Amino acid sequence: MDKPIIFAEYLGLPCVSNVIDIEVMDDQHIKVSRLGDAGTEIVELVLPAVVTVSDSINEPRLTQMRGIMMAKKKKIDVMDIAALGTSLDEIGGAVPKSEVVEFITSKSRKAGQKYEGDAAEITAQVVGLLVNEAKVL
Amino acid sequence: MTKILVIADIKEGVLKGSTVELLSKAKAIGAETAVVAIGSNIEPLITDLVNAGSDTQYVADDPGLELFSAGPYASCVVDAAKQFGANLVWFGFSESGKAAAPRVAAQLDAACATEITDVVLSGDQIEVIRPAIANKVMQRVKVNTDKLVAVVRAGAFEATEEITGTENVKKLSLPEADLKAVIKELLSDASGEIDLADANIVISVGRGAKDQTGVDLVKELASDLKAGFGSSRSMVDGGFMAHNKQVGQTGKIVAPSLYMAIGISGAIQHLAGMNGSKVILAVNKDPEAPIFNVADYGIVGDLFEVVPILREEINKLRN
Repeated sequence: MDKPIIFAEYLGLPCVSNVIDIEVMDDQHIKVSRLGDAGTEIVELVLPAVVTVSDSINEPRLTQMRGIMMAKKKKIDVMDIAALGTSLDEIGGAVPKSEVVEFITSKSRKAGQKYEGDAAEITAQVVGLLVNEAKVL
Repeated sequence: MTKILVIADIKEGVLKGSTVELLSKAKAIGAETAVVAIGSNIEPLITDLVNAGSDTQYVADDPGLELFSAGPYASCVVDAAKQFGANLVWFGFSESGKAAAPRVAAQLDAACATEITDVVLSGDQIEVIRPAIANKVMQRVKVNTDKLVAVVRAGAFEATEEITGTENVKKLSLPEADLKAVIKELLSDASGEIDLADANIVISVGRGAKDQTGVDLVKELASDLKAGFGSSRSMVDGGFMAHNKQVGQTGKIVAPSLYMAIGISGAIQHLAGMNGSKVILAVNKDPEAPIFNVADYGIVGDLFEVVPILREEINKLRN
């Protein structure tokens, strides 16, 4: 999630990322909670501001059938770069700072050994393997 | 010569392992290395910073920098990167790193890449490898500028034992406070607990634990082993675990020597956060659970039955 932060930096706007709660203080200020490394950080922001949220921000409600049907009827405006009054050169799209040149299949893990049966027996067996074979205990 | 600036990852006055890993990789590439340390009371860490493999140490040390604030933090890194003439600026994998790296990239007019797992240099050309689509594929990314700011994925680089640096401390001037995003308070919920990102063993609990009783049971196993204690998303949504304990694509990404998935079915978003672990043990009562497709060892059984036996067996070993 680097793009929104770069966007805020270009616009010179304050920005807080990884936000899990937003509270409106007044017309000019919001208070947000951010998941940081040392705990939850409470930050006051002057508006306008850019905020990026974590998936903990809410539980999205399920869309109702009526809403889905209405959405299908909405007109979608498609604009190209020229219509926005700019050009690829101007926004740095002609020579991007980085570009994906290849997709490589991830090294996928292989399924190991699965043990079924008497819980006491198989658990003891697996602990033995963690110690003697994998050497991680 | 390539110049690599590594941002020191400091937590509760201790230099974290990721800093050594990043500097080890930088030295292995044959780069000139520098480190930037930002915080309060850095002085006692200088020796650690040198021993971690840095040849220059940029230091911003002030009580005002004790709490992380992305703006001032990024200013310090930009200042150090300019003084050093860095080609590559590397952050370890942390929330502060993820927040500061894009700002630094924008200010330096550099390319930005998050979660890189490898870097390839040929002449002036920089390329990085990073995962995409929940780790299903890796991207090879070509950098078209001479500068790259990157966040390195946890566990991507290994620390080497024999690494040395030289002491050459440079004080940075203090950044201006960010008046438009003011940090008011830090609600610490992790003090004294084992950090998931650093733990050698991580144990995570999932929906199979059902409720607090199940969570507490698995937590006891974690404390026996002095392991980091994490969770799948369902237990966070259920209110049984704190948000910062979530392991997965949108939570913490971990790569310990041993990862135990207890009562976790293995949704792809969870796998993305832990499938870099060296050894994976899964306990689940559903023999068809997708977690078994990535686990090195799988125990098919009810965690309420298996976990107490696991504790008993492990404690037998310890004595």
